[in-house]
Amino acid sequence: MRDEVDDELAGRAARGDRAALEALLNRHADRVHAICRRIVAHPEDALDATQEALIAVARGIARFDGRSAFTTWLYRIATNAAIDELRRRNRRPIATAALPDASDGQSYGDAVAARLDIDAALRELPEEFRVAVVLRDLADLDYAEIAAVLDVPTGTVKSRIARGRAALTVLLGNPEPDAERRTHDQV
Amino acid sequence: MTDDFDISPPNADADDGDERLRALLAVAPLDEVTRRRLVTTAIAAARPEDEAARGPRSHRRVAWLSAAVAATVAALAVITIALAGGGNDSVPRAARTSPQSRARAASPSPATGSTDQTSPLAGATSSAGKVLLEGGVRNLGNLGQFASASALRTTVEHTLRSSTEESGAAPSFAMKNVAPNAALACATTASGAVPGFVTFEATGTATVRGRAALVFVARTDDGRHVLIVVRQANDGTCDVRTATPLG
Repeated sequence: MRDEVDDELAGRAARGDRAALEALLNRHADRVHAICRRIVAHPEDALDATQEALIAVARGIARFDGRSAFTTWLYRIATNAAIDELRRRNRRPIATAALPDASDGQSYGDAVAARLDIDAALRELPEEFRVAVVLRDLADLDYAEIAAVLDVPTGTVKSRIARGRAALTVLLGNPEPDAERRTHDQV
Repeated sequence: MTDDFDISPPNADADDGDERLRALLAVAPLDEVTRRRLVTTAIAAARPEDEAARGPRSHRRVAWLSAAVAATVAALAVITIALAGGGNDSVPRAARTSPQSRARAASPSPATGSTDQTSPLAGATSSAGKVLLEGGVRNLGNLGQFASASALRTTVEHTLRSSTEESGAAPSFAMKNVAPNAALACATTASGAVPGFVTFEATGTATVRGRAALVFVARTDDGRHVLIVVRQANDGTCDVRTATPLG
């Protein structure tokens, strides 16, 4: 999934063009944040992870050689920053999550319930399943891209996504009879 | 709803996913202020490495800046000594400071709970440290432990507001403080996090997400206040972690 604008901006940023770097970071900040938000499953910690990821991009852009798509490199950094944050957080008490805003036809109560549900469900999911599901169903990467980001075989990616989704189905309180049994067997 | 989820491993390059799951995972875009802050901080944090990578020319610029800072500090030292000279400095000081701040100057700050002996900022007895102190940089002391930079920002804002209300005026800079060597070492790096000329108004320490950090409150040339959090590595290098506008 190469993007000419990304390639152009990344090339200029790697040569020290600060405006290009700023444009690149502005262009991808929302996606980096979204990935961090769902992997970390906590709003404040996700902002910290996003900051770490953007700093890593700004510092590492000179070493980006363009052999892979910029987004593959970017998502790998974002994923690693989120996982680092997750592990840091696991070593300290968990603060109460901030409540979300209501959105798109949902009542405030529905929005709160759904968001708390998804955060709680994601936190219950094993880390490798969570990351795979987020990269597929949020970042919309295909299996090969996820395999490149995570540096694992494509078959492993498929398996993690399938098992992660099945576990989420159960955790969100909407189990398929067969899926529930399989999830407990597999997770 | 039971057919919302297809859990069988797909064979194509990518499956179509699940709409309900996608909707639940969707994240609202960052607001403009937050995005700008994140991007600005990232670029500022990358700056020292950029300059190192660009070679001798930038080293000369850093050296020139360091010399300029040293010259400014020396000039402030001379002014401070001149003002303090003559054996009785109480009259000019009285003209500059409120009774409350003079009282604070005579005793450890209750707000910080620190003394010269116990403060994590204590120990810097170089002339430059004294000048930084008497030239007007306030010691916030050890601000405590924080789970996030935003929690630290809230505490700093509260601390600054409290001290302003306490003195009934703009923050007084005559409190009894000693600037830390580490803060001096990282001041130039911290100033690089904010475009243009900055004046440091306060400094302190904190633990953010389990890591020790130096905290600077700077005023920009257009009058805004910025909180800058810097971490100092074991090898002495300073690393800007956040630069956040204060409310």
